[in-house]
Amino acid sequence: MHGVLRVKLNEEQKRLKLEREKSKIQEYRGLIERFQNARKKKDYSSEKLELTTELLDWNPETYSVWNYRRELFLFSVFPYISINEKQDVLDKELQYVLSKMKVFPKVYWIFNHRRWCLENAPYPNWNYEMMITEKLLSADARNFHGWHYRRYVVSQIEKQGNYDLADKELEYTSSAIATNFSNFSAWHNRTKLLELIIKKETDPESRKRLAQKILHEELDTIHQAAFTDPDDSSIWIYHRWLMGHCNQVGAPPILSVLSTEERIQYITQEVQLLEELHELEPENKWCCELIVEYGLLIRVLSNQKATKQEQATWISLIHTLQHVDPQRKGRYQSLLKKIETITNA
Amino acid sequence: MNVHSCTIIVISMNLERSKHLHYLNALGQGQDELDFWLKQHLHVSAIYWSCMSYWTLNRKEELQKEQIISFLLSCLTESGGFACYPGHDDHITNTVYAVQVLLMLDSLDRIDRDKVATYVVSLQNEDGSMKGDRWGETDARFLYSGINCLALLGRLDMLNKSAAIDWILKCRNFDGGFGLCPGAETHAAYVFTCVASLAILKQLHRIDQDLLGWWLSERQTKNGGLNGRPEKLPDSCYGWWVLSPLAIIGKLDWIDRNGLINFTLSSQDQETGGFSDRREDIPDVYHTCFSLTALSLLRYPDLEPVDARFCLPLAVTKKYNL
Amino acid sequence: MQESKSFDVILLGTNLVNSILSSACAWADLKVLHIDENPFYGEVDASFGLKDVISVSENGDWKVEDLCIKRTGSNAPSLQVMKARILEKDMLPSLKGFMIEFIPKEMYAGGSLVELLSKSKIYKYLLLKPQRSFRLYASNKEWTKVPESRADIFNDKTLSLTQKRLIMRFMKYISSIDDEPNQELLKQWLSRPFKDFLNENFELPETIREGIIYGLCQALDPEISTECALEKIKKYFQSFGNYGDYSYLIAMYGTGSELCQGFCRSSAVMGGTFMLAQKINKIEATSVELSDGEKLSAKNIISSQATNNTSMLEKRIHQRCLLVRGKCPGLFHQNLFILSEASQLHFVPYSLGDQWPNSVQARILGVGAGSCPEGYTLWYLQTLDSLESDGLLAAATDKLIELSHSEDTKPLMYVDMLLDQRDLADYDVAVETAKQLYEKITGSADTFFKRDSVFDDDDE
Repeated sequence: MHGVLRVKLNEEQKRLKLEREKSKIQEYRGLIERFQNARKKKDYSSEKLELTTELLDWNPETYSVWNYRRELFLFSVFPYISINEKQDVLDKELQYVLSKMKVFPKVYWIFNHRRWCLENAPYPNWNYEMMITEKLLSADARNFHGWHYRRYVVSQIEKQGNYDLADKELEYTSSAIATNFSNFSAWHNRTKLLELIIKKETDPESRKRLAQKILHEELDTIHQAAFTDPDDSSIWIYHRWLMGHCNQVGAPPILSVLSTEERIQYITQEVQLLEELHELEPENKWCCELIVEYGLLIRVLSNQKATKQEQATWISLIHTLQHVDPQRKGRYQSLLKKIETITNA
Repeated sequence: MNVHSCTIIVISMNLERSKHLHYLNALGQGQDELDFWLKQHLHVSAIYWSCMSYWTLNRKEELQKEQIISFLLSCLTESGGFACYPGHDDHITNTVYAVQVLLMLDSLDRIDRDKVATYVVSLQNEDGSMKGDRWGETDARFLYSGINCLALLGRLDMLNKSAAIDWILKCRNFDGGFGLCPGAETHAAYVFTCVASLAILKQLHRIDQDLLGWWLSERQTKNGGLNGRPEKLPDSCYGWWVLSPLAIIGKLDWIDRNGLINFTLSSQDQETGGFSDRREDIPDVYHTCFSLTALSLLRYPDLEPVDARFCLPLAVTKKYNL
Repeated sequence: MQESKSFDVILLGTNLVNSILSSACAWADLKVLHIDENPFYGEVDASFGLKDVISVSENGDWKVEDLCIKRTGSNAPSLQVMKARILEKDMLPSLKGFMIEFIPKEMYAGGSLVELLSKSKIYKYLLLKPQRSFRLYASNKEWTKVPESRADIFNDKTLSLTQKRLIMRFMKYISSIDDEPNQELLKQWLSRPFKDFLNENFELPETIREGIIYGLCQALDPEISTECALEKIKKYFQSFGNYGDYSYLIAMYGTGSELCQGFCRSSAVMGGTFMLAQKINKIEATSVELSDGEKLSAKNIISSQATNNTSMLEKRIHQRCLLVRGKCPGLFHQNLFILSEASQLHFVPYSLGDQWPNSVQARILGVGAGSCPEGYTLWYLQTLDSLESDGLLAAATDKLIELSHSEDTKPLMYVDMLLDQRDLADYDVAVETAKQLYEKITGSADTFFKRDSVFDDDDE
């Protein structure tokens, strides 16, 4: 159980609690028993819907009850009603699901059932669903169920209308970041959207221009954030993405259109900026580590050996790191080894 | 002797073994509490969590073997999958947990392995991913459950492996971690399911392990605990979700072991036994299981070694050559 | 007939300190009598309407009257309207609908008053709304937003990267100001001017320094001490984000008078007795004689007094309240959906002209604040009293008209007051003062607003 506070009861309070619960247990067990019997007998009479509602009100995580509820709709409701009536029935069901989502914004089964309703509805209202995702994410900007559901709704709208919402979604992440740039969920979504936006541009020349423009703007934003609060981890993870540091295996789409020289140029500029920040904040671990990591990346890309001086700078930065961030000493030790192998290679 | 070279281990608290056993013993006896009945959907899962807890505490002999097996068998449905409780529906999560427990109890011969394996394989989608049940929810957890289960059943050959691997790699993000499906944000629990799947399928060479290790080690917060995503609060169960992939790629030394041990021990309830997500919250068997297995990975004294890929006792996976 | 009635406490004057104290004593089951010579609640913390300053003669002539608030049972000077001037008589809608506060002050969302309102459930008697610190007219003659949060600094495109870092460093310093090492540095600065402290310890750009001194601290005195300024900034940041992205709250229909009435009501509910418009003949150590000769006795007699705040310099403040026609959307903070109903604008020294070395603080209330009719706004301007303050306030008024973004903006009337700086101490100081008095009366501050849980009617 996450986030349920400890309450210690004394013997008397325990006894009272059990006393109070006795009748509730009887009631709940009675409901479950009726459910199990109906299930066994394959009883799909539509009045059983009420039974499932009662059970789900007790506990929305009993997935078998959701399953049974869907079967009731499929076997004893849908076959006997018109398309419009079906829409009405599902609209009502969606309202019921929404009431559950408000209380339980992180239960997989509830989202699941909502998707089933929409996928079975003759006229699903996806724009309304967009509004729901906004509500979910304004209540908790990091709710990954909310973000997952939003991506799903966007994909449905795109499919139906045959257009794409990447630019609009990008704007949405911008406003989430303006509110709080520690929202890594928004930065993450940005990486996916920007990749889509760049891939959409098929002409190589314009694609390159677009990629450069995006890179320029993104770096500007991330610099603002980095200098405002260099202790925030989410911005540095995103920065690594922009530098293509995190994707050495495949070609990072945003950088794949640039020549190696151009990439090296970008990274060199960033290292300079990091050095500026490092001077202001000598104990900031992200600056120390990234100066080393990007330095190594430049060496790999340019296929050149590091100078003795560079090597000495890096080693001293790693010593700083081991001092300011002792929790990850082991990782810095292996970075030290990496420097040795790269510089000696 | 050079004083500076020896690491001083300051463990602020001890593992309350007997209290935890007491807590575990009491779990099955809550029929007079409403919560016991409301948690029916977690019954099979809870059996797995408590078996792992007993086992990790070196007390597997206290398990009521026959009672557990007959309960699990009563959850087996016609489809070949297991339900959370008799009279409920099959689901892959319950299936893998039931198979794991049966293997721990040396009792896989009590079920028709082919039938269970056929059930699992029937849930695989064309793109390699896996559904949780016939209703179609798809999620990296379910593919891991399927792979884990098939491996234990000795039927991995029935899986469309190359499609599964491709799909897992599509869940990977630029930060080295994995999300619940392609496009989703990296989350420690999904990192575990994907990395463990790749390890079982012997595909670890397909990922950038330094990058992954970097993301995982950044999960340790100042108080020693681990969080599941950047800028979130630590939680004792991430002890397992973050630590197990680190163990799989051999980078356990990339985080501060003592800090994590202290954080994990601070989330145990010193009165009633059991672990909670954070010090101030109520304990439960889920956090108890993953706190104990995490402590085992951290080589806390006198705990049974655990196989990080399967979240099973190492003795069991060794015995069956997994 | 003159039978002596006895009480545990007799309170004279229903200003905020005494209203809080009245309620606290009644909560502690003390027998409370609360008297005010004025016919309304709140005394100096009250509001007045136009009818109180304007009299209309039979032939329809408008005449400005004297308005004077007596501090009951105290020798402290009365509070009075210094000057009231009608500028556009024909445009004044009627004498109804305006509520002018004698002394408008900040209610910090994270302060002890709001905490007390919440604990005592007195907030239920009030309608609270946010007031935003909004814009600053800097010495470079440009309007800038006062940086209030990390997000503000991140989003402000006019700041260089290094400046962002330095401002954040200042904000982090404030949030860790109570830590040992910071305290050491501070000791030598407390009584010295805050502007020097900023200059020497933080390399901040000019507009940001002004934003901090005149925006976050709302300083009227450019020589504001480090101690005083840091106290205000600390409270500002502690309050920001408690209920939303703002630090101040107002109560609809006049914050001060509503607060006083809220506490008095709570006192009455708990058994306190109230007498308004009750003249007093004589006050002695343990008794009070009313105008009809009735003598009432009490162990404790608390008269009206200005709040204790010795750290402030005794400077006088010239306040002007303007009744303005026009909705003035330009004077309110606006986001996509909501136009705020109360806002704060700041003019730094010399920004309105080289001849004016003092700052002006403006508080603008819209119709949503409940103090003026639809289509009108209420502006409170404050500056240090000086020979030039009249001209400075006029210049600030012109600047506000320019910024109001509506063509029909027109000041119709103003009311000037001269305030003692001690009267301006914020509402949290009133809580502290009331608590000290309470301790004197009961011997312990531990029971201040403490009741058994049975009184928490709606928490089950």
